[in-house]
Amino acid sequence: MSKKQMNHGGVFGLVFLGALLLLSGCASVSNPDAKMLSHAAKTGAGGAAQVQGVKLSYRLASERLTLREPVILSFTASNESGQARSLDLGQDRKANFLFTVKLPDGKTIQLPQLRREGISVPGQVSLEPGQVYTQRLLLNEWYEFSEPGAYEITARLVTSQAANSSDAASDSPEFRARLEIAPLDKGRLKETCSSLLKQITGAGSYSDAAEAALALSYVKDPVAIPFLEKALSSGKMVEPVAISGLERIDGQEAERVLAATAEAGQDEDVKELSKAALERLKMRRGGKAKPSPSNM
Amino acid sequence: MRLKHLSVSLLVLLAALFFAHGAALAQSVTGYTSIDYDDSSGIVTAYSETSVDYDVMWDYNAYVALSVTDTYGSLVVSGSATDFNDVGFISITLQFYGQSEATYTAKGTHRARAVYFYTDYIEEYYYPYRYRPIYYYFDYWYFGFYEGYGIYEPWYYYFLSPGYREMTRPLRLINLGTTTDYAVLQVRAPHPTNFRRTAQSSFSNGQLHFEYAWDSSTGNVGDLGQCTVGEIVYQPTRGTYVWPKPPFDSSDPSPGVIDVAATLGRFNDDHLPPRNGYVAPFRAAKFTATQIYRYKCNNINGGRYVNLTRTIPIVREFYQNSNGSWTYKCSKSGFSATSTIGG
Repeated sequence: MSKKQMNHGGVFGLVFLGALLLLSGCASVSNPDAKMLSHAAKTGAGGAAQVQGVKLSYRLASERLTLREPVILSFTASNESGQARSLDLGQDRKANFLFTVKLPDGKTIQLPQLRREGISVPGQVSLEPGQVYTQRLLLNEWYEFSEPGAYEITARLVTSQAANSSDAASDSPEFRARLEIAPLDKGRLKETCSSLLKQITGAGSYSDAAEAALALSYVKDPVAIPFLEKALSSGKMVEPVAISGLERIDGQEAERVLAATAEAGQDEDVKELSKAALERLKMRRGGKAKPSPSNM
Repeated sequence: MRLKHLSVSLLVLLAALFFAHGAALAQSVTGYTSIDYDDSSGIVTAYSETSVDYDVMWDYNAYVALSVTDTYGSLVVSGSATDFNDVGFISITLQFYGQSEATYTAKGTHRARAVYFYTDYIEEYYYPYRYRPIYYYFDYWYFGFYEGYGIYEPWYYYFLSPGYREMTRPLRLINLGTTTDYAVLQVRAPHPTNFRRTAQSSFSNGQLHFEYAWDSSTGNVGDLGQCTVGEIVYQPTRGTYVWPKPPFDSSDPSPGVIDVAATLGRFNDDHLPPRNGYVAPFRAAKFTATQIYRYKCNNINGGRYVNLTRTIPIVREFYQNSNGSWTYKCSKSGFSATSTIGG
């Protein structure tokens, strides 16, 4: 059967490598060798994680990474029922993913759901019979993974407030995987950044460019600075993402690039964003910002 | 014939006002020129036509010339046509692939032409004009005299006519009245259009929710791969704006810029209550952020943003009610969400 493929390219989820372990054979994604998160509790070993005829699966782009490389998790929902199904992924198609991380020291933390002020991609996804939806989630948006070691990640799609009974995520099972993060390898990190920059500059659409730029912007290491600087002038409309990345890295070199952009950026918006990022960096060094006085 | 975009029509009245009965006859030539861009194919179509009234169509032929120049004044295409069948109308259509962001100007030239029959002239090629014909006209009405004087009914002029004799002219045609019109087109690549609010709702925690949608100039949002749609929000101060504390415990970057892929065709916009809640001692507070929705396409406006809306105020306030409780209120575009705290 030929399945319609709906690839949610870029919008907001991206994910890189992570190393989750794959336990049983779940789901049907195109790459049979792909490592899959195991469907743990509810469906039992070997069972596919299927809810209301929609098969949900997760796959880490890589289960072994080095420190500060992006951790990417692919999410796939495949409607194997005979009727249309809907899936509510929440704000930006991210907010309804619930993650817990078991840290290398054995401590387990529940990561807060991603919610933010402002515009976002609607979370509702409709799946016709046979349709497959894929999305890449950049786990660094939820957690920094700042230490090398073995992590255990669980993922679950939860029902949002507005979801109705036809929402396939209303009783979503939990997936579990292991991720091994080796110590920092500057050479490998540079290669990763270079690869992401190539994806940005070679992107055929904004979605693709934004997805790669988001991953690059979460490489919280000075190695990423020259690549972010190039992304700024790539003409792919990812300047706000790149500026956020530079702000995240902090440090003198990031500040230099931001200052140069604030001075001679391509347009006023980019200059203004850079200036604001610089101000925040300075504020972080000098102490917290003062609250604004009430204005009545 | 597609005449979708801007078109400039020009009615050229070539009236005969020189003699009493000239006005009654009111012979005229009408010109019309347009230029249009088809988003889906990327083809620019320029069109021009000339019509002559029934009264004059037997003595004059309609003529049209059309040329298109680009942003820099360079000629892109040109052509002309003459009605040799005495139908009183002639048109010409020229097409080419448009370049994004280019401005094209179509110039239509409209004429009524007196064309002598072959029996009225003789062509000769002779030294030193070996390659150029010389026409010997039997210009009985001396029409050639009026050429270039803006006189459109020369057959009413009998003065100064040399009568029936041979006249030498470099061209066979005599142009009797010429006028021009223009049509201008700016080619724009596929871009978002018809940005609109489609829904709004409020929640008891004070969250104000809006939904927006847009279309593509091509009719297919899938064509907007080179575009984003998004917002810029300015808080009262730049950098990091910390909400008045107390009563709020929250902050926002300013400006806040978020873009999404325009191919989505829609987005939500949520205005949330303070991220970390409220802190005592409560006191009245109010501040206003300003928001603009906009789009950006790589190949439009030099890759810079284009506003879709005017500045929209987002007002957040905190005030005490008569029963002692406090209310957080967020308002935008005539809608608001409130949340009661304490009491």
